Parts: sequence; C-alpha cells; structure tokens
Amino acid sequence: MPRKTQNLHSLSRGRVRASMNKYNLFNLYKKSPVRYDGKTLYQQKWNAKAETRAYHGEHLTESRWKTVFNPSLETVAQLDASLKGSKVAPTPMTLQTYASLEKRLEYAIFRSMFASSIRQAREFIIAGTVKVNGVVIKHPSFPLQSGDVFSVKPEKVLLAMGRTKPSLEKAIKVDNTQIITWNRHVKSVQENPREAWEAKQKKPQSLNTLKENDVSAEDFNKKVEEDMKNKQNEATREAILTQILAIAHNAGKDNVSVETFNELGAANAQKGYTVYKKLADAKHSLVSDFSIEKTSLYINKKSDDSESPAEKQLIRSVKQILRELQKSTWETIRVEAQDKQASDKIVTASFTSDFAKKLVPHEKLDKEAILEDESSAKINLPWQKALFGRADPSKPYFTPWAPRPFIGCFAILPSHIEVSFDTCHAVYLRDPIARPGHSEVITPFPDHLHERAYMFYARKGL
Amino acid sequence: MIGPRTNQINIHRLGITLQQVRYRRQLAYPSYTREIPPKSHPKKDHSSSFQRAIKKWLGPKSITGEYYRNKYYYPPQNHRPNYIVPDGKSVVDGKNSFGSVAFGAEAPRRDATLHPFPQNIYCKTAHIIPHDLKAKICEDVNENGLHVQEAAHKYGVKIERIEAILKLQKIEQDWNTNSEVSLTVKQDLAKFADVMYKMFPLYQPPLGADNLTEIPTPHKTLTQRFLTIAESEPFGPIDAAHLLELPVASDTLSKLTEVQEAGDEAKVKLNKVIVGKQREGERTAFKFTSSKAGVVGHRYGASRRDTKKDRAVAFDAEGRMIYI
Repeated sequence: MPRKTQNLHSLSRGRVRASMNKYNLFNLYKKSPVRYDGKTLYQQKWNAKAETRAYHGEHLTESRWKTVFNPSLETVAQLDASLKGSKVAPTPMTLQTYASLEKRLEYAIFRSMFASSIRQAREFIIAGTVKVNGVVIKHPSFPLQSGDVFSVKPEKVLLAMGRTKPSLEKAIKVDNTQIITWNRHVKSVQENPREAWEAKQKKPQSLNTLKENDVSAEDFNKKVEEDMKNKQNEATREAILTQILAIAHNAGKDNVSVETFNELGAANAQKGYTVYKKLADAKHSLVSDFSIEKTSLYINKKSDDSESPAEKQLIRSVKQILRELQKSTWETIRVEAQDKQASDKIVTASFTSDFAKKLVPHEKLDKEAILEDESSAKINLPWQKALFGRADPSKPYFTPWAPRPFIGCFAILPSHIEVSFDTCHAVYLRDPIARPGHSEVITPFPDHLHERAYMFYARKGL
Repeated sequence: MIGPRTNQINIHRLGITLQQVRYRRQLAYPSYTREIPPKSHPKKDHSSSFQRAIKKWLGPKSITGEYYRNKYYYPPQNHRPNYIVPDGKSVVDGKNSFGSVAFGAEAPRRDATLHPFPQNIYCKTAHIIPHDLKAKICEDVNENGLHVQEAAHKYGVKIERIEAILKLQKIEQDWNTNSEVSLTVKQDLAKFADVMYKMFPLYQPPLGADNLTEIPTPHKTLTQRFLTIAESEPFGPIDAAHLLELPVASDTLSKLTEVQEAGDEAKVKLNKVIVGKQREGERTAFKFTSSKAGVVGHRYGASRRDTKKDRAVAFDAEGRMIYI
C-alpha cells in the first residue's frame, strides 16, 4: 500500500515529484538551488534526503525504502577512454543512489511514458492492465530483468498521456461558449470583411505545433521548386523517346501525322514526328517494342564497328533531336513552376471577398436535450465536428486524442528502456548505470545533492 | 520596585527566550523573480501569492482550456525538445521574451534541448531511432543474416538495444492482426505514437552513438591501492591491470569485437542421479538425487526468512508473488 499523503503538489512546499502534473512543473520551474552554507553536515544530509526522496519513491515509507536501498553503485568503465586521448568526464556515481528503484515495474512504466505519474502507474498495475512477458502482473514492485517485455493496455496509455476527457456538462458549456464567440466573429466579418481580414493577418502566429498551419508562401515556393527539379530529372532522352513511340503506337501505324504529337507541345510536335519517321523508315525494331530499357540501351549504346554507316547516322540524328526536345521540355517545366510560384504570392497577400461568404453562423446547443441523449448534439464548427473532447463518448480518454498539457517538458526518453509507442510495449534493457558524463537514472537533482543523500543512507560512508 | 506591569513584560520576554525554534519552514518562492503579481481585488480576491504566481506563469487560458501563449504547453514536433529554462518568461506575449535565470538555478553548460532538468546536466534524454533505420537494422539481421553483434558495431547501438528493436518489430508486425484492440483505439494510438516520435531528438550516427567498449567497473578499481616503485621504473595500464589481477583492457577490447556465439550447452547443469535397482518382490524403486540442505527442506539451525523484514520474494509463472 502506498504511503498516505496530502497535497503532493503544494506550491508553498515546492517539492518536485515524479509526475507530469502542471503544478509539479511549476514547482520544478521555480526551484531554488539548494544551499549548504550555515548548515551542519547532518542538516545538509537531512535536507538532501528530504529533497531527493520527495521525487524518488515518495510513495514508499522510509523503512520500506531502506530495505530497497542498495549501497553498491553500478557504473561502467569505457575501455577506449585512453585511446581517445581527450580528458574523460567524471562519472556521476552518486546519481545511482536511487537506481535500485528503477527496476521496479511501476518505475519502468512511468519512465516509458505509459503513465503520467508513479502513483498512476501503480493504479494501472493493480487494475491488471499491465503485462510482463505476456503475463498479467499485479505487483508494482515486480523487479524487471534485462530483456523483459512489458506492455500496458492502450486505452490506459491514451488516458494517461492525453488531455482530460470533459464531462458532458462541461463539454456543452465549452461548445456553447465557442459557438457564441464564433457567431460574433462571423457577424463582424460579414459587416466589415476587410477589417477582419487585416486583423487576421496581424494575429501573432499560433504556438500550437499540432495544428496544420496554413502553408507559408516561402514553403509553397520551395515545394514547387522541388517538384520542378524532380520533373526535370524524369524528363530524360530515353523517357522522351519512349513517349514518342508510345504516342505513335496508340495512334496506329497508318494514322501518324505531325498533329499526333501535339501532346509534346505545339513547337515540339514536328520534332517528335521527325524522330518517329526516321525510325519507322529505317524499320527499326524499337518502333514495335519500345520499353524504357530498350530505348535507354539504344541511346546509351557506344558506337562500334558492327554498325553500318547508315545506322550510325540514324542514331546520331535521333540523339540530336532528342537533346533539343529535352531542352525545350525542361524550359516548359521551369516556366510552369515559375507561374505557380508567382500566383501563390498574390493569393496569400491579397484580400478576397470569398473569405466572408464561406463563414456560416452556428446554432446554439440545447443543453437539456443533449443531457438526455448525447448523440443528438450536432456540431459543425470549422475546427470541430463533434462535442468538445467527446467525439467518441464510450472511450475513457479525450477524443479525438490530444496530448496532455506540458507533455514536452516531461518527455524524457530513457536510455535503459526501448519503447515502442505504436504498440504500448517496451523492453527493459538493463538496470540504469552511470558512465563518464552521464547517468541513466532520471533525476532533477544535481550530483552534490545525491552525494549527501547517499551519505545519509549508506551510513558507513562512500 | 517591580510593578505588575513590568513583571508581565519580563514573563513575556522570558517566554520568547524559552521558546525553542526547532524547525522553520521556508516557503518555496520562485527563484527567478521577487515580484509577486498583485491581487485582482483588494478584498474579494483571496488567492495566495503562489496561486497568483502560477496564474501568471501559465498565461491566458482559451475557451477550450489551453494555455495557448505558454511556450511549454504544446509538445515540440520538430525532434528538438523544449525543456524548461527557469528565466520567468514562460509566456510569449511579444514584450519580454528574454529573462534572466537566478544564480545557480540552471547549471552552466546546460543545453535545454538535451538536458531535461535545469540543475542536473548528467541527465540527458536518449535519441530515438528513426523508423527507416529501425527497418534497416531488422532487415540486416533477419534477411541479410548479419549477427546482432555485427549490427551493433555497424550502427553504433548496443546489443541489448538491437535485440529489443527486433523483439518490438515482431510485436508491431503482429499488432495489425491483433483483434483485442479496436480500430478506433488503433487510430488514436497511431496519432499518439506520431506525437511522441516527433518529440525526441533523432539518432544520427555517429552523433549519439553508444560506446560499445563499456564494461561494468571492476570493484577492485573503486578503492585506492598504494604501491611503492622506483622513480625510473615505468608503470602503465598493463602493469596496473597485473597488480589488480584484472584482465588487460586491450585484450578485453579485442575480445569484445569478436563475434561470440552464446553456447546453450554451458547453461545446462547436469545433476547426478543414482537409480536404485528394483529387486524382485520389491514394491518401490529408489532414485537418489544430490541436493543441498536449505534448498530442499530446512537446514538445521539456519534462520528462517519469514521472520525478516526484507523477506525474499519471487514470482511464479502466472505472475503471483510467492515467498521463497
């Protein structure tokens, strides 16, 4: 049973916990560095252990933790250290003080970001939603070993790492407020579209990284240029020859004229016809069998003595025309791309009256009717097509799924666990270790604080 | 002469001197600022200074409950983590985008895109292996017949991690045919996985590659050892290894690069069994297996584990905890 507690995230107490709570983030943010001046050694050790224990195994009683504590600190030596020549960074050995906790199942689940706090990870385990090597384990203290595969039920992970699902009443309240604001916006836009347009242009850029922002003119131009280059690379001589022969083949042997090759562009039709005519007159095998491999073989073949002078002449003249065709095709592609780029600049910078026409006001929601029957709620806002956070009310998490607030500050990929977020499975690689300049035990506290905490528990000294 | 009034004062003073202050809790005020936001109303606002400080730190809240101007609210999606910098400028409002960090609140040489915590630079986030590199590793091992150890050297990833990637790839392949999880959950899960993937820095070898020459630190090297030698006598790592009775690092290093096949034979432990001869007319056949007292039954005079605080526990094949 976890230790009883009250107000874990007290702002005036300011302890940092192993949790993704926003109050905890603020506590971490405003944390002052620990000061040792004017304190006796015992006071320093006591404060250090109080600070660190609030994060490491806060849910364990002191006597339980003392039995878990292992005074031997696991570190590694790097054998190539002397070969590198540079100075080796110090190994933060004392950051391993709480390493013995990390092999517990509850910790591994929190570290793999399948739960938002240690206490929540414990709940998941006790509820029977966690498996280790395919077996349901209901003990949060289960010690993991190297190579163990553990998994959590995906719904639970989505619940833990997603936004809070609002109650039905809350969702209706939010949506009604959204609708009122939207209708006010639509009204103001329709009354004065130009002013609204300009206000929209001036609005600071959204910080939302998940929203698909309107593509800026710069990005659009870059993409057009990339497409252009790809198209130009594709327009090789072989490809053009294959195209010519395919056009002629589709038209039928007897119906081929200059007009047949209009696909290549008005200026290039004559050249295309000439190429075909030359090959057809020579009764070349390519005319009937024009795969890209054959044409590329024909064009890239080095002339040798086995060919007659007439054949050599034919190849030379065909290649010459194809080169001209390729040049003009490239030019066409370039001009097309340039037109696209220019038109985009105009679109993003200018105001159109269509902008106001597209906006439609929304009907207000009937709270009583929706409370009776949730499926009666009809929402058609441009950014939302269902009740706020309740697209699928049968799910225990916010739907469509959205990440929990401030998740980026707490997302730390562990070195000792390999996580697969696609399947909510993870593999425990090894117990966390310390190496020069790096400790695999995730902790917000500096090494000097851990050193004192270690001294507190390992009574006989380092 | 002492009047009653002065007497009272003396007792009062005495009371102060006698009172022993053993513990004075210091409130955890923010290190980055001395300014506490004012109350919105002198009488009606009952919020504490901490509540006002966090409100200011979070910034404005949208209708849907998002702190949309707080720079830590949304997850980074460009493979560049955005960990906190305690400078008091969490809200992007276009006015003051740069603040100052209080002395000691952030360790020197800290990189906010790598070190999650301001005061601990020894804690780093690991690099996530890109999808295409994972596919390449799996192809190399499963199809091209590369040994796990060779793959580890080729990609600079530890052997355990390569093995874990292979295991997880198999699970991911079976996942699509897994009918236990509904389709809608799978769709949400795909979005979750995508958001998480884009939050971590990508592994781009050789940057962030594992050191494959790591061995557990030998315990003999953790303590000091004194040896008197002549000033002219050369003394290097090989001599030190001989002195500590440890294998020489260069030998261990060359051993690490050789492909080692894990022999299964070594793991099988043979137990000596004597089967007694069953004579005619005997109803029982005897079999004698050597065991150790304590492993089978109780050793006479040994202490019982069940009386201890840290009683040894284990888990059976069905995941139940048992005492051993």
